Amino acid sequence: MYRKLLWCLLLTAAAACSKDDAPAKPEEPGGDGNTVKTGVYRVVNLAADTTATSGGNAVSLYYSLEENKVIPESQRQTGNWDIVFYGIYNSSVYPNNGAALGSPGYGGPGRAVISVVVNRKFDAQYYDTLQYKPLQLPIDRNLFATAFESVKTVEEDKFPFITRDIGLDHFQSGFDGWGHYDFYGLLFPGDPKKSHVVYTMPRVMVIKTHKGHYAKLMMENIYKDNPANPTRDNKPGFITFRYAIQMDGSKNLDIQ
Amino acid sequence: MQLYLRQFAAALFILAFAACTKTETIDPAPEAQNRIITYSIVNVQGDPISGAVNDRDSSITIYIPFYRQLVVLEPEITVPEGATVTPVSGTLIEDLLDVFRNGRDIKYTVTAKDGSKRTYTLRIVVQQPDLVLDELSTATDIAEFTIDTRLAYDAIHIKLTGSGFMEENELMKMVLVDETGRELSPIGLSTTNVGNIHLIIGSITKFTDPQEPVLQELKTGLYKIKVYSYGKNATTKFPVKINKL
Repeated sequence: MYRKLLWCLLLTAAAACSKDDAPAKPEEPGGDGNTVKTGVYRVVNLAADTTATSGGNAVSLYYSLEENKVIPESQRQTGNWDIVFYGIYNSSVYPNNGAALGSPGYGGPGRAVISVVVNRKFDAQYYDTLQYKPLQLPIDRNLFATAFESVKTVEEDKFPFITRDIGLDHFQSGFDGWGHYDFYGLLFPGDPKKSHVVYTMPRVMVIKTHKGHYAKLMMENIYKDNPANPTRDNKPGFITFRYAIQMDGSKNLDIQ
Repeated sequence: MQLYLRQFAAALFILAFAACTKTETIDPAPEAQNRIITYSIVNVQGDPISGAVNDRDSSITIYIPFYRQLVVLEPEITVPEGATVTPVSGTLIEDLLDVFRNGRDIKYTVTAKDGSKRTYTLRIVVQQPDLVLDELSTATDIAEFTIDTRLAYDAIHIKLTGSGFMEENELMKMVLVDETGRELSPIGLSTTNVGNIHLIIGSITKFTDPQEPVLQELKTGLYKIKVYSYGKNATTKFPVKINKL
């Protein structure tokens, strides 16, 4: 008798207690996941702002390294892009960082950061490390390949990540950059076609993308068709750069 | 043994009753399956901005603080299992300044598993200090500006003090409003005092060819000055006189 009652009670108790509502699963936010594979990518003659001059800011160009494509400026406060080519001649490379006041991604969710790898011993092959300017032009193209390949990992302790831009080298600032801006044409005295010209240097930028992947990037040119020794006659606003991205989450940048 | 069982049964009785008192209550009416459960803005640093979903009037209200300087919103929307929402979660609301200045109907339609539909309207509320413009003229003393287009170069600079300006010029706009209430093309804002929230300087310049739109539209006359600052706008009470030679 008691045993039956017990069973009865047990069942009721069990039934009574199993009425939990399973919460609905939240939907995944939209977004296309056309991400690239780990590898080296080269972007040639990317038309940033073909009306660019040295006189004013160019139209900003937002770029997703993870998807290897241009993102419209209207999405600057989203996580859809990693770097932006900003300012005069599109020469300032900002990471997408929403916490950096005054940067293009300010206010948005961006978490990307950037650094520039500088090796003075290597620099000495093409660069006056006291005057901060190239020794001769054009700079040997082989140095660009060497510099790019020699960055094999992320060295945050030596080249700390920042949230502001990497731009023109020691131009109106004390910062190392990716290119030399010969404002007065000092490298070619007497040649009026040689003032206000930007020369890329074999410097590598390391970027942590918004989604947390590491990439290395080197500017090759801002002039159309990648001229080795550009002049004022070359058309600015056409960016050529190469980058390597590691999609496995590691800091291994020894990517072929 | 018998006694032990009896005590155990008694204990179970109490437990069962305690457990059952909860199930005695009448189930609430099942919640509609064509609802929006949550709506939040996720393209920000830190915690998302949660919207208030109101099922009574089918509205969603989001409060946007001005200091985040947002010009695009990325909503994340959750709906009951099996239901769909259009536009889908993650669809960007772009050009927010245009939403503030010209208005835009933003609606979300949820379709439940059973096909029933419900449409929510989005309300965007900007939390921002008041925009106050100091007057350049008084009722009797009208400030005057003159631009001579016969010269190769000439310019007028309208310096407005006040409060509630944004640090970023691109979040602001200055326009002249003629006597019929028509707004001319925007006036270029000086970049030399960026970050000053108590002063903006608008410049109309005769230099380029073709002339900038505002100069083409401009005729000698009285104009009020209207300033858009993120989600707010304000117009001077008294006009200024602009002479175009």
